[in-house]
Amino acid sequence: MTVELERASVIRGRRPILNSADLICQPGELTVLMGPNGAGKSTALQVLAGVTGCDSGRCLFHGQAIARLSRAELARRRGVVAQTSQLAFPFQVHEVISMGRTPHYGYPRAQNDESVMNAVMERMDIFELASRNYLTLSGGERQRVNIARVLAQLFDHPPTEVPWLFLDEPTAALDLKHQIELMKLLEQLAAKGWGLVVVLHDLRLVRDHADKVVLFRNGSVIGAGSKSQWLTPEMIQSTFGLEEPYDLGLAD
Amino acid sequence: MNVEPYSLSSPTQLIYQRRRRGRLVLLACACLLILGALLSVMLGPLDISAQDIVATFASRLGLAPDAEIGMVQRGVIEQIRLPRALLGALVGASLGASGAIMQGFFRNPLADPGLIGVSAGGALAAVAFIVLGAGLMSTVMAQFGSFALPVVAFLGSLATVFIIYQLANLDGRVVVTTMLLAGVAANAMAVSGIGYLTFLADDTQLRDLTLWTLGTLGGATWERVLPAAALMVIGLLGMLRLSRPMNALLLGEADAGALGVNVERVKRQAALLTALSVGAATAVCGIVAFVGLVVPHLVRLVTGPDHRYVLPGSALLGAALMLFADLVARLSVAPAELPLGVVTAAVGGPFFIWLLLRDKHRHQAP
Repeated sequence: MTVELERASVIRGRRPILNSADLICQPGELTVLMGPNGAGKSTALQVLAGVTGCDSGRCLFHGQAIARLSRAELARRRGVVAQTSQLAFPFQVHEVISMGRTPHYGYPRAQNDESVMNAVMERMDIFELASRNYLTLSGGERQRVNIARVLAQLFDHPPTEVPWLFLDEPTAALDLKHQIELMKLLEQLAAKGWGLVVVLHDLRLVRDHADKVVLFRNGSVIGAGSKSQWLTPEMIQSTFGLEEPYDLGLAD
Repeated sequence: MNVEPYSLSSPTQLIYQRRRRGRLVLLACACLLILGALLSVMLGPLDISAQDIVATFASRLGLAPDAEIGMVQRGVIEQIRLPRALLGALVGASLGASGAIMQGFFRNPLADPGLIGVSAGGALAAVAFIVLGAGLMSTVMAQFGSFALPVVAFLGSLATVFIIYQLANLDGRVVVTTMLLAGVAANAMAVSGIGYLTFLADDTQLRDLTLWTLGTLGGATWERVLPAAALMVIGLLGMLRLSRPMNALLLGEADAGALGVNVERVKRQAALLTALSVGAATAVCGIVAFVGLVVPHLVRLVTGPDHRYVLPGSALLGAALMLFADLVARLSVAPAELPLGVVTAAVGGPFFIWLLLRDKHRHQAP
């Protein structure tokens, strides 16, 4: 029940933006992808989620090649929160969230639409935004709506299934309170057995919440494992190309 | 006085509110369409009463074989007014729904088949076929009969959609300014092509051609209407089926893909179906501007952007407005007739300016 990359490469133009990456993500833990801008984190996330295909190598979702799963089937088992949303039409917030239920249309789980929508809106603290026009929301509010929409895709998963959530810098636009609440929620989901893969820049959030870290540089995975092993001051310095070691205070 | 206590609406209530409002809008548009169709048949140089219409239908259906109705009235209803009303309704529905689909496809509310040259592309292909293909026409006509012209116009429209999309598409993101400018350029080229062909055309062809530049429902006979009508109905039914994936597509192509939507297939279908409807509409009644722009906006103002209401609403309202526009075109300068495009552009142009102004203010707001 893992999601894996096997020597996965993505090439844009002539440049590999992901270079023969190997990676295994386990359900029940919060896997954080880290690295400097343009290091290939977002691309790796998209390949893991099956949104982008790889030019060589492959991605395995629960042992099956992800490219061979049907889009609709995949959409009922994993959700993707992208960095930015392109919505430019004045939908009300509850309509945006109901779009998360698209993959269940015509399937038994469609019966749960309304209760799931209520639950995820409560969870993301956007209940009072329900009738607002999405285009008039602030960046952070939009981000919470998008996360709620993706949660709505998976919230009523059958107990036998492991849902996967892929989030690309989900905390970027959030205020401190909602950052903390989101990380708490992700921890709770991990404890319930969900698979969670998150791109994060905030090292303190990584220090406090990650179960496993994956370091990227120049399109390659340069390390994956526990925080204490990889988040040493020297490792952070070389990964991000800093002038001095950066101490997160993880050494005990 | 009874004051409602302040309470938050739950999503469930909001969903019902939207659904109720959407259905009301559809019902209102349908009533407007019925009214437009009735007036279209009744009004004109020869006044026709509602009784005549009922009698004609009754005798056609064999309910009242010896209903009393004059042969003239019956001929006017069956051979002149009905085909014209049907054509008007279908053309309006096609343009309205195509406009809605295109605005979703380009993820921009300013897309319109008339504005970005899709109608003109279809018209150019049709005109070229008439003027240059005299020899070709007889062979193709023999093969496809009266389907030939709508099919040729469809291909012209499809080519235009394809070119504009290729130009405006950057890594799966549509650059809106490029789309509008490419559309303006395509439109200008097609119109200039039509102008040149008009110059080449002989007198009998010329009469056919004037129609393509400004649009008219005149000369609607069953023989001309039915083939195009078949294509438009196929296009309309296909477009209505796209409402859910089109909603998801508004989130962006990556997000729609993550929701399980086959983005490439939906885009292909959207392009084909709009080209089919717009091409067929253009083949029989020329370029009718602004219907595809104005109608979806009017519907969206009331229902919100959900395609499950915007698409059928735009089809119904487009059909109704087209019939009323045709009434104005026919009756305002009777016994002469205004080109239909003159009427729709006179209403649609100012509306377009209003849209731009509204967007301008919206972008200035913090």
